Amino acid sequence: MDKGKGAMGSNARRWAVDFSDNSTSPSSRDVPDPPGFSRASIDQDDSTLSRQKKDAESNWKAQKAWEVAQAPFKNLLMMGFMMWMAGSTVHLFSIGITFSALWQPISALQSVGKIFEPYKDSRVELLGPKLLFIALNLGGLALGVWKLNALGLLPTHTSDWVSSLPPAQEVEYSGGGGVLI
Amino acid sequence: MVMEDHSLLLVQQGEIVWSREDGLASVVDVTTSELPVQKEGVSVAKVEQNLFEWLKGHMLKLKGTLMIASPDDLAAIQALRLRSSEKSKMTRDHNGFRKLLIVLTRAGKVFALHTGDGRVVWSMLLPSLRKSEACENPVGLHIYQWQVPHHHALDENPSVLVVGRCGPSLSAPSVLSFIDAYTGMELKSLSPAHTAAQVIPLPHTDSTEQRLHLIIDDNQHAYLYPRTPEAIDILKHEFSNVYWYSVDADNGVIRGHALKSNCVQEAVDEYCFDFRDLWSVVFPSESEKIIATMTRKANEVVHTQAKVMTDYDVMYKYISKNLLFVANAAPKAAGEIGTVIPEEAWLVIYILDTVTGRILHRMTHHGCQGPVHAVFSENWVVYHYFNLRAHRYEMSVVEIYDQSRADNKDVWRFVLGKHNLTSPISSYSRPEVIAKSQSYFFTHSVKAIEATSTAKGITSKQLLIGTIGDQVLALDKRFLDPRRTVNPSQAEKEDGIIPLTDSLPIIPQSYITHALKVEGLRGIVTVPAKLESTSLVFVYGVDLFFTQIAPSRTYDSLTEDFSYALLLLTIVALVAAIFVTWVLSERKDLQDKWR
Repeated sequence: MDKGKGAMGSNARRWAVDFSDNSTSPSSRDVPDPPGFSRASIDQDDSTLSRQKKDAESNWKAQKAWEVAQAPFKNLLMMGFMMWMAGSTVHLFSIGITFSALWQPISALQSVGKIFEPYKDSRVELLGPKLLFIALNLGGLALGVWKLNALGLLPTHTSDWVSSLPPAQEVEYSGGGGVLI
Repeated sequence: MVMEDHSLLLVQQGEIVWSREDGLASVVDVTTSELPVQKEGVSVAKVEQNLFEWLKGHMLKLKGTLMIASPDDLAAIQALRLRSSEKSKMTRDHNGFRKLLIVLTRAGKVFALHTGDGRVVWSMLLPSLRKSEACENPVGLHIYQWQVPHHHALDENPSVLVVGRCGPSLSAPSVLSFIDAYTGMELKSLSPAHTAAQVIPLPHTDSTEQRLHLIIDDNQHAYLYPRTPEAIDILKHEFSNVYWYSVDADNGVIRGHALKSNCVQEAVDEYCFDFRDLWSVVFPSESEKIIATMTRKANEVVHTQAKVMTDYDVMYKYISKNLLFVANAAPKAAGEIGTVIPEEAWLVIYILDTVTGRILHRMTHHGCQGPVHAVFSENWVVYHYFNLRAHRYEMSVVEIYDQSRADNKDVWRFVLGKHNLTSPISSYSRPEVIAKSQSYFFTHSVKAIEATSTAKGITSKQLLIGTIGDQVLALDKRFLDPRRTVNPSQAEKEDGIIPLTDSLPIIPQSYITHALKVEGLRGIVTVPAKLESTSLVFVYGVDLFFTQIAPSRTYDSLTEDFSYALLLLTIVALVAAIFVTWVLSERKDLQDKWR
């Protein structure tokens, strides 16, 4: 089939197929439409389609954000179980678990912005998931601190502060004794 | 031949074959002195001087290793080794193990012994304590540290003061002598007109680091030494805080006095002071007779004033240097053991405050008698006596706690620093005290007891008990803990409280004299070393014994066979491994990015 490219080199370009579709308007179309296809519907829903796509995208983003915000909860449960297994004596394992339980929420809190960046959208409300995330991480931190207290490592008793007190100086001095033999 | 200074000589055909310093068998008093600081460059010069000797020494050692040395050579090698070993150097040690022990013997001769190998560094027969017309029967009494340059006057050598008396009775005139601790030369000698009934070293030093001493004569006048106007200024500043107590064992009275003013005499002496009577404790002479007194050491260091009990409970120790422990026995029981029946024998112990005369604690042991040997350290007293009813010796411990500070239980006050626990205290505030005590049986008879002392007071204490078998036993203080119960709870066991038994265990491995005996043991002296875990012990009698003990083992220094090479090798290997793995990971990252 020869599309209008002039009368030059029709022999050499006999099998060349020109893919540029200049038929944007339905009037210059020479390929019949397939049965059941109505051309009119495409033109009307251009803007709505993009709006729908954007809506679906932001819904998906919001859902994902809430899921990410709830992820620390599972972490909390797992940490709680591991700390219960570590026992109340001061050993390498219990200290290691306690410190990792303290360090994970802190590092997560520091990178809140980075975690929620892929879901950043002008139409998505990120404050809710962020607050939930922060709250759950603070809960994890509190659990770590409570475990630290249970191990007896927090200076909550008088005896922790008092051991460094030097003896008080005495104002009077008294000497003497029996007679030198 | 026995010489004036108690040394023995064998003279044959006009020549001295051997001589022996036997005056060391009658040591009366001991003090210590630090050695000079090591100066740079001195040792190098010494080696270069004796190059020939050094070569000869090496030849001898070579002959020794090749086994072709004669017995004379072997002796020479041994002497060389001893002389050049680390522990017998004449300079200060990093750990404080090398010190000079300055001992005063009954002959009036002062020796300085080196703690490394016990050799006599210098000895000096004091000219002021030799028999002469002025001094008929000189007797050396006590030796005190006089000048210890620490911060000021660093170009002067430390010196010691020797106090002696010119006759057997108390009214004989006294003799004071100041000796340089490094060279043994007598710096100054004084023969004051007054007697010396008591010597009180004050806790104040003047600008040249000389310690102020008050020498009290039998007319209750105090004379201040050094006789400088600066010393008077310092004393006037602290005038109302200096007290003196006197124990009159014959009449059973203990009196307390305070400084009043300058002496009221015809000749005005501004270094002489009068006392006024403050208090007196009169023991009933028909039922109590003083047999022993004991006070704390003046230079003892206590690390902390709080003692943590089980369950995070805190009790505050009553740490006061002005406490006196007095042991009184029934008049009939003041003699030998076994001369009285148990019903007529009792032992009453008192703990007095010598500033106010207040009796802090009193306890009666029925059926017990002396002789009582006691040691007073920190806030506890341990004393040893004989129990007639049980026919055994007993040891008791009394610990004193300050109940008035027990209200400080709020944590926030400590966090914010709003407590007054470290502010200076006075004995006149009469805090409420509580005493805990316990008694245990002890099989040995005892000649002397002393407690270990360390530089900062952190290490746990051991009691050094000189037994009648002339050996010294180191008993951990945890055995003499009033909190011991028959069935300790789990928390108490974790605290280290040993279950209560009726007698103290004598573990044969804890004799610090090992298989040796210190013949005629008379006294034990402990000196703190600079290293916190170690204490130096000097035992004297007819024999002299010196050792270092570590009551909690040497927790603050590495073992002697620590392989530094292995440590360095491990560090180098780890750094190399870090570098290699870093390079590999960077390479892998780059490859991943380019895939």
